[in-house]
Amino acid sequence: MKPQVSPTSQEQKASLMEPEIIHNIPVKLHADEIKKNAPESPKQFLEQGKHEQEPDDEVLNDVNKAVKSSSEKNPKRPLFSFRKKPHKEEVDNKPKPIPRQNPKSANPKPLVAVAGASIMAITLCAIAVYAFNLKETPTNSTAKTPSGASSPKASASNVASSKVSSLDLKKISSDLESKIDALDDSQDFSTSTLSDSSLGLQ
Amino acid sequence: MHKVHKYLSRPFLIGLSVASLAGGVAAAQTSNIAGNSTNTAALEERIAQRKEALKLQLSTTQSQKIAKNCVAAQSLVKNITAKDKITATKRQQIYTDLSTKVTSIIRALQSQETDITELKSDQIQFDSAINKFVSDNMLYSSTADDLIAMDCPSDPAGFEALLTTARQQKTVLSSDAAQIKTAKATLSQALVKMADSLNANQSGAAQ
Repeated sequence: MKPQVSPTSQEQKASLMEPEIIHNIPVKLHADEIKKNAPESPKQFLEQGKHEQEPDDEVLNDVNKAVKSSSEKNPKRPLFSFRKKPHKEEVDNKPKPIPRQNPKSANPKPLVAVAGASIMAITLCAIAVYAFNLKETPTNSTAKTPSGASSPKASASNVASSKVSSLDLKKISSDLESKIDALDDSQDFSTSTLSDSSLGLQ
Repeated sequence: MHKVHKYLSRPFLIGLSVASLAGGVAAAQTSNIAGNSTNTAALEERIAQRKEALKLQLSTTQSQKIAKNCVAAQSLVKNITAKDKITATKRQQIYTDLSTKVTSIIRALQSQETDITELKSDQIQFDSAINKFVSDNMLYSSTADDLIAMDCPSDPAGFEALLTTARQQKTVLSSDAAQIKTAKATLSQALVKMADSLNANQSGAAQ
């Protein structure tokens, strides 16, 4: 009597026969199928690999072409080499730049910079003229008049606010005497320095 | 706009600044040259006025002597004038400081309703003497500067006229200084008198 094989085991055997693909990944292949797909020689294996890699080659070839074209456009040149003038045809064939779509909305900064530079130039001119003329004009520092009418108002107002005592008056009197008497008029205004003998005109 | 960006480069701006400065200096030099020619004409006019005022007459020998030695004399006058200017500046500063103190004291006394009539008239005399000194000093400085600047070998008479004027003006300055001392003495007495008056008022009020 043959052993009764459970239907589950038969089903299992059938499932083992057929390749089951879960998420596009083959889970198990039958031995015959493996033999069938196996290459006969290494050469055949390589060729098989080549065919499998064709889509990648295409990508690589595209990349290589792109790199070549960019290097041809901007070739690396040594430091002291002369740049060749482009031929007329190359210039004519050169793609023209796309014009700006909104020329009116230009950046106003350059106008401001130009105006600033002009103002700076004028200012520098004026400073140079003023400084040169200031150097040449003689200074009249001795032409100060006494400040009888134009005395410093701040100090005058401070004194005016405080009460003047007899001591203050006596102090100013002594200052007048001491400071003016200390000046030697005979020495300061001697005309002997301008005599003919002093100047060697005799 | 691309051209504007090109013109706003740093070297261009630096060059523009340098060109502006150079242009300004050139303009100033041109105006200075024009000013110098004007000053020369004014100098000659002043020399002519001095010669006319003094009516000096020089002999041939005197003219030749002055023409020969005046350039050296000009350098000596330059040194003397420089010292005189320093002296005058110091003196003027002292006068101005004292005048300012007196003015402030008088204003304070006026606010106290004190009788300052006599004091004020003495102060006016003091200030007038100082003002006269300042104006005469300006004239002396101007004459000395003309004496140094003129072309003396070509105009000995003019040189002698200016030298004579400078000597006279220096004598005037000496008398101005003496006048200031006199005014100072009067003012000082008036201040002492006012001080005594204030003391008397205060002691009278205390009693």
